[in-house]
Amino acid sequence: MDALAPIVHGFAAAFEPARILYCLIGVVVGTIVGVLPGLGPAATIALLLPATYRLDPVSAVIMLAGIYYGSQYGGSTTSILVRIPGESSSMVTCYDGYEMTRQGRAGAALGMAAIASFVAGTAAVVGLMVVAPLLGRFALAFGPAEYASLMILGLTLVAWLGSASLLKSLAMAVTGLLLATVGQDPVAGVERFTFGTQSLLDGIDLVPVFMGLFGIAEVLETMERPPAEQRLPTPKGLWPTRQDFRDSAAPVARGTVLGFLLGVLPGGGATIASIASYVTEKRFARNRARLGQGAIEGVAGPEAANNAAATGSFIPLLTLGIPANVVMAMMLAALTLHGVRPGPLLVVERPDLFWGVIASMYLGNVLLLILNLPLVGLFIQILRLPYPVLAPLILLFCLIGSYSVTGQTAEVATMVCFGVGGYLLRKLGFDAAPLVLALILGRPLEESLRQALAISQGSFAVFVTRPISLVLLLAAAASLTAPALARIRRQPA
Amino acid sequence: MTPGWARSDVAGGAALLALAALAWVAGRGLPLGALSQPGAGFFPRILTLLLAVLSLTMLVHGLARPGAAFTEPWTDRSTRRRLLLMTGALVFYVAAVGTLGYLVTTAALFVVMVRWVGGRGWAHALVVAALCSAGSWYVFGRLLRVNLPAGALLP
Repeated sequence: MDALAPIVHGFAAAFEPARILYCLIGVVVGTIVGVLPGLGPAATIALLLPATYRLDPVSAVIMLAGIYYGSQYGGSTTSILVRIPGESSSMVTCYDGYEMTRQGRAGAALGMAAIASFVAGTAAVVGLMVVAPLLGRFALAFGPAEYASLMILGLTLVAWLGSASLLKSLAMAVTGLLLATVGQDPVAGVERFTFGTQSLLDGIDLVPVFMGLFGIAEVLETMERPPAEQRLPTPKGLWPTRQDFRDSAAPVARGTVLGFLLGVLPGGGATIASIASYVTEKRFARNRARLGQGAIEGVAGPEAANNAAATGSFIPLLTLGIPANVVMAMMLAALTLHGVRPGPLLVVERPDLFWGVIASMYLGNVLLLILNLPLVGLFIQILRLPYPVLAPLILLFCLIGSYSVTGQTAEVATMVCFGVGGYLLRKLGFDAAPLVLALILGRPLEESLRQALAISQGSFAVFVTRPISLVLLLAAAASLTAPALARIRRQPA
Repeated sequence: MTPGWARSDVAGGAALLALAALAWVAGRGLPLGALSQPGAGFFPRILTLLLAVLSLTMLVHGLARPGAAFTEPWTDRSTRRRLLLMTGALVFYVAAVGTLGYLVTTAALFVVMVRWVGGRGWAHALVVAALCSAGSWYVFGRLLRVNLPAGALLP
């Protein structure tokens, strides 16, 4: 059993007391970062990078990895309680998670989010051990054309989201893409739509948009009701019921597989994975009619998917040295800082690091479950606050979150604009999720599109002659036409 | 019957059409480049056209079919007051925080929200405002070292 020796070695390395401590620190920080909107894992890892200088590389990566997957646990908390996603990958959790809170089932939603995260996270680590090298090669087949097609597919998924009409969802997605072009263009650095202001030069930051569209707009909408009717119901029961577990099993399984596969691919990663899972549940699952009305499936599936994706995104980094997203790019920087070169040879050259980090993820997920389940009881106490006090607290959270991104009041102004704008959009029957997704995908999409066109010397054929790209585009076309067809079938002329 | 402008598809379509027009005007000077070497204006121009088509469709669709008025929640006077007060408080926050500083501006936001928007008493509002602004300043600014806005006059 020589093949297993490095794995055993890795487990031994991960379970040294000091490393257990670093893993614990990582997941605790990750949970906090996930709960606090505006503070993301990428920024946190960047801040903590210098602090890991004195650690050995294995401990450093164990801790930083813990921050990343830990943040996926915490991100759902504010989505469920106050309808502000802590991370973009918890955006779709707002739909059913917050609806459950309104029905007094916040405890069940939070509990299921933690359990789904645990199951998916652990399953994804198993997947990571078994298929890492294989999937790594698959990700290598992705060129600019494939990235562009994948992101287009991700965008068309929004057609299935939310309650808005197809036309409105598409209009929001295009608006988001257009907003993403604000600032210096990604290829030549030409200024676009900055209207001469300094603060728009780096583009529209995601965090203030998020805080505005979700947080501020939600508070404004609640203000439509008289103060006496604003209060959220006191949660009944802390735990998911037996029925909840039965309903969640299949969505968690589907979300895990989807999330793991999408996490491996560069680009949207956890965010696209959670959306794909939500769409799957909303359109194809047995209980699809309940989605959007506070169904546990709408929490369990996406939360499983974003955790599986977070773990999956380590595959291209560890096996190819290619970061799948911003957080992984920070991780790459951390590894390089410690003199480790990730790539196909990592597993041979540094088996202690490769397997040690993977082994620590088992431990991290267990720690997160132990940490998060008791926190459910603490978090739902927030709902006992009277709304006239809770509302300014939510506003303050959004204000601090937006300001802390760059330390400019302009960010707060952006947030207020998107808050009022988001409220008006809601009144007009638009859904904000497609806009946010498009804002995230806009820059990488434009970059890949322009690169692909430059490589093909202006021929769009490159998108349909490369097999992976063709399949992705066909899927995108199907995802756009299927809801329209379904609608036509439903209402015969 | 709902007047045309108050239907959500009409108002929404018109607003997005205006946005497309703005993007067209503001993006006029950007280099389009060639298909083999797309310039900075290439992607925005495609999107602008796409948005124009979508918003026009929405507008026409809305004009052709009667729909409910989206302005319905604003017909009640006290609702309008709450919404405007909250929006005003946020705008004030952005405008004043650079001068008056975090503590005072945050406290003011809480007073408006608790006293007038929430309809609680003065004592309640002042205590919550003092506790929350000082508490958050200490926890975020001091303990967590989060970047908080500082004023020219006060912290």
